[in-house]
Amino acid sequence: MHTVEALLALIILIGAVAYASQTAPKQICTGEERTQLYLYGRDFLNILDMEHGDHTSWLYHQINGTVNGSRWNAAENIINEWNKTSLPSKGVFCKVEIMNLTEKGINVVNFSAGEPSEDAVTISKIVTIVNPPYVEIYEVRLTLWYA
Amino acid sequence: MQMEKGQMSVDFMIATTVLIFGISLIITQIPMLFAPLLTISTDIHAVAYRTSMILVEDAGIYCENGSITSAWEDPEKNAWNFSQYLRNRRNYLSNVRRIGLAMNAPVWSSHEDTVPNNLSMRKIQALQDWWDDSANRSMLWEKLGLLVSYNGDPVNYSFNISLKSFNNMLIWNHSAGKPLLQIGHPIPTGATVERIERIVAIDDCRNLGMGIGDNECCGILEVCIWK
Repeated sequence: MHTVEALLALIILIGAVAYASQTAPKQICTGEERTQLYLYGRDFLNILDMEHGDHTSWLYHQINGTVNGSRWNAAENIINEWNKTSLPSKGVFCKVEIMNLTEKGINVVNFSAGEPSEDAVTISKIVTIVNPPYVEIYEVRLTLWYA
Repeated sequence: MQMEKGQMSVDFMIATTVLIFGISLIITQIPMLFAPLLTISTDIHAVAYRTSMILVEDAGIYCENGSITSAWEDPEKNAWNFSQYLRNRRNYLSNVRRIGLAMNAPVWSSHEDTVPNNLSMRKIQALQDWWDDSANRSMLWEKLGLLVSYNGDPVNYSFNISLKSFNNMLIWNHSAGKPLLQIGHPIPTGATVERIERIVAIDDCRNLGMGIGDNECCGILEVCIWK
């Protein structure tokens, strides 16, 4: 009888500990790390979109070259630039999505160095392509995460 | 001697289980439960974030006789360097109200006053020269927003700010024979140090750092803050 009580107690205890370990906050990425990811992404897109004298930018030309029939892959080229930062060697990876927000509907071109984790951070930049009389608006989404 | 009773009663086990459930529920539902105990750490992170924002996205403020400009490194546009301003303008240091490193926007730019993330080489050199001037170095804390007042008491944050290439080496100013930007004290071991890294481009440079997009020189501005 005592053995049965002990077994019952053991099962209850193990169940409680298992529940506690599962419901405890799984904070893989701290607030500070998320802030750092956000800053990496915003800084990177700002640099790619640095304005030229004709009000275009490297990012503008990448998007324009990709969507207007040239055989460019802006998403892949953006990831190649990201790799130059050596941040992937620190475990920071990215995914790039380019979305057409104008009347043609959402058209996603994406390129990724893997699948983003649950606590990935997404930063976006709006790029307006002007080919008179047409104006198209694209959103470049950069999703960053720690591997 | 043979035991005739269990060593632990079921009532006690149920009570223990309820207690564990309760504690786990509290920890789950109140993630900021221990935040008040971490005031120093959270405060330092906010200060590091603010300092990085000021340096990377602001050009600074120079105020003289009610006239304000963000070109604090050369307010009179006569191409003087830091030492020349210090020698020829008596109130130069006190007129600098805030230090920022972002370059001033060109006339054609869509930006109103500054170009975020694009650091001015002249501002970087002026900041490094200011730090190297040991007689006036102490004024930098106030200009960087690292000397503040809480309830009337002065709070002084220690800092280490440097420009690094992506391989984590200091970007070197070859003509001056010293790092392009490395100011502040050595980072202590064992203290709580908050670090913020910003990806930046450097204007008007050759062979410094790695190019990104069509910016020739890019690197990391590392801001470390501790108390």
